[in-house]
Amino acid sequence: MSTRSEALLARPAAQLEVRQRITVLLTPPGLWLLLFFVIPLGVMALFSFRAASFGAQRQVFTLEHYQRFLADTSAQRLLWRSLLIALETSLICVVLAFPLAYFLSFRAGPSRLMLLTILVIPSWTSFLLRILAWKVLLGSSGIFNSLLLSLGWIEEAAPILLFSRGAVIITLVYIWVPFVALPIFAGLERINRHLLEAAEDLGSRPWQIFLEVILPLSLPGVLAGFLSVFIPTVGEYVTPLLVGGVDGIMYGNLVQDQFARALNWPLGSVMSLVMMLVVLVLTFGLGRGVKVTDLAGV
Amino acid sequence: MSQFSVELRGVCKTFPERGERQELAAVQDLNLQIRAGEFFTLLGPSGCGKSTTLRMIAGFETPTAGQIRIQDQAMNAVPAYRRPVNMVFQDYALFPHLTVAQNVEFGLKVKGVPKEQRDPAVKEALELVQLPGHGDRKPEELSGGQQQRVALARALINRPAVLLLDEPLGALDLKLRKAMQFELKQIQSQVGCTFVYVTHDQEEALKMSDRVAVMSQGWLLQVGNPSSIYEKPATRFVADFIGETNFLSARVLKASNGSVLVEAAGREMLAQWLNGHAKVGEDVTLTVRPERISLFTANGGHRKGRLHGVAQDVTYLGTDTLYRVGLESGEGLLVRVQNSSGVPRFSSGDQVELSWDPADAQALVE
Ligand SMILES: Nc1ncnc2c1ncn2[C@@H]1O[C@H](COP(=O)(O)OP(=O)(O)OP(=O)(O)O)[C@@H](O)[C@H]1O
Ligand SMILES: [Mg+2]
Repeated sequence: MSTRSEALLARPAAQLEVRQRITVLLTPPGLWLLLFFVIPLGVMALFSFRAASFGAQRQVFTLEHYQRFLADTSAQRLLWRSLLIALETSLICVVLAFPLAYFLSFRAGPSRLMLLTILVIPSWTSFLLRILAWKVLLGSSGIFNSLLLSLGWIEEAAPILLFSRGAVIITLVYIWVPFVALPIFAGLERINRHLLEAAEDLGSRPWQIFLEVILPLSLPGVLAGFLSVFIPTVGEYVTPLLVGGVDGIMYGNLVQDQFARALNWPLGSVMSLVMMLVVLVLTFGLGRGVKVTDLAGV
Repeated sequence: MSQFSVELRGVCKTFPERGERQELAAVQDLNLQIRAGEFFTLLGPSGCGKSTTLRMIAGFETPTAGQIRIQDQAMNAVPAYRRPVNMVFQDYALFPHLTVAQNVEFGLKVKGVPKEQRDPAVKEALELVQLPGHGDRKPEELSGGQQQRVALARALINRPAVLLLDEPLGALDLKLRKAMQFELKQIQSQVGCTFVYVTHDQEEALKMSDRVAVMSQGWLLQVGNPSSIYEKPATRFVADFIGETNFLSARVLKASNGSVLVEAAGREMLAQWLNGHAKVGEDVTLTVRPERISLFTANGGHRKGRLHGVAQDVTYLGTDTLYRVGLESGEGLLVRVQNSSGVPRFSSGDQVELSWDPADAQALVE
């Protein structure tokens, strides 16, 4: 802090003024978080202890639904599966997005911003439309099946393409790659180019510059990209609904079922809370040693 | 083998046009011979091509024409990572994800030197730059001056034939800067390698260098040791850029090989030829350094050889006082007088007389 602002802060009146300004600045996001995050979360936590969604049983508080979840191995297996799908999706996204971001940042030169825009443009169309597009592509008369058929590689349209775990992952990867490329790109852009010259000057060959300097310095961006896919994908339910079939069902579908079909809100709440807890623990485990400010640099 | 550590033969660098920017000749037909073990400085105003020259020696830029030789080897086709030179960057370019020790050993590590040999070398290098025991810190925990030292250690550990320094002290405050100038010289005498130093600070260049190359707009104007650059500037630009100086327009009255009689400021006076000769009747520029001019109290009578003027601006500089004196001819002269008890002080508006030794007045042909 400059001495001038320190001197300013030393005056009680100015201190008050600064505090007031911070309050004013933080009020809208604070309210937003309170209204749409903290309160709903509280309501959900409350519901997880209710005996039933409606009626008199609603006023009875119990741990029954937690016990039910702990006993329900199929729900736990589905959660595990969803974590794996999310993990695979985010890893594939990172593997695909890294070279993309690397090219944009180090090789694309002045046209990088235009290329970046082109990369993001597809995300302007509706999320549902993009999933449905994959339904067409992967369907039994879709382009992949027709191609394989006409090449004579397969005898009949392979149903495996659509309504499978693979279809869910392909679709999710397609949707998320640009959003992983962005934080990685931002991370690579922040690398001081003099560092690369310094490394070369000290005798590093190009691959050594990559391994010793670029890769370690890009990790915060990679982690940010990874988490920005992993976190929302664990709870994903639209994509599996549309392209997943029986095989590609995810934990999110189970949760949705409890709320929308079984109308068992307490159990749905328990499931949601458990998933949040698991994701939270995993995220903090991964994020240890990486500063929040690095992630915020996205 | 020749005695030259670095040799530039007709080196040019032109940056291609891009977008709105026109093609730009950053370095033009540069010929330089830098001797082994020398402290050689590239000096010039911002944008004159100093960094570009240094970066071509390091291998980060490819010359558009000409040849760069290091230790008698042509370097044009040698990539930066195989050149026997190391660079200290103005922003230090320390690796933020590595500790000080890991930064320093970087060059040895990528060359595959085993750890048992790296560790003592790191210790020695950190001692050389007076940072023993700082190996486990992260660069961000160090002050600017300390980071500078780490950058130096990281370069010197590779025992380069030539150390390239691009305004290494630019980010330091004045006091630290002066201390580091002294220390850099000491380190150089310890390691004995050639230093090629870039700065736009003429005082720093004169103080530290064995030889100085003055550049302007991509051209090399003059190469020489500090005193010859200061006392025998080859062009008006050099005279103006290196320290303060006065210029008076003059006309040649009588010329000989060594000295010249000119008419300047409405009087006849003697001067030395600086960078060539001119014929009788031709115009030249007379230059006199402010500190070579003496000031006297005006006492009515016209004493021979003295000019008359009025003190206009008086600036007290601690050890010296700087006067701007308006001459009868309408021209102005800067005069720098050392403050000591016997010397009269003048204030703005005082009548003064000025004189200088004819040996200190130089005639520049343009
Ligand atoms: N990569 C580049 N592309 C285009 N033009 C460049 C490039 N690098 C330098 N230049 C131009 O070349 C000229 C010389 O630049 P250079 O960096 O060598 O100057 P300098 O003497 O080091 O100046 P300074 O004291 O400001 O660092 C400048 O006009 C600069 O704009
Ligand atoms: Mg420069």
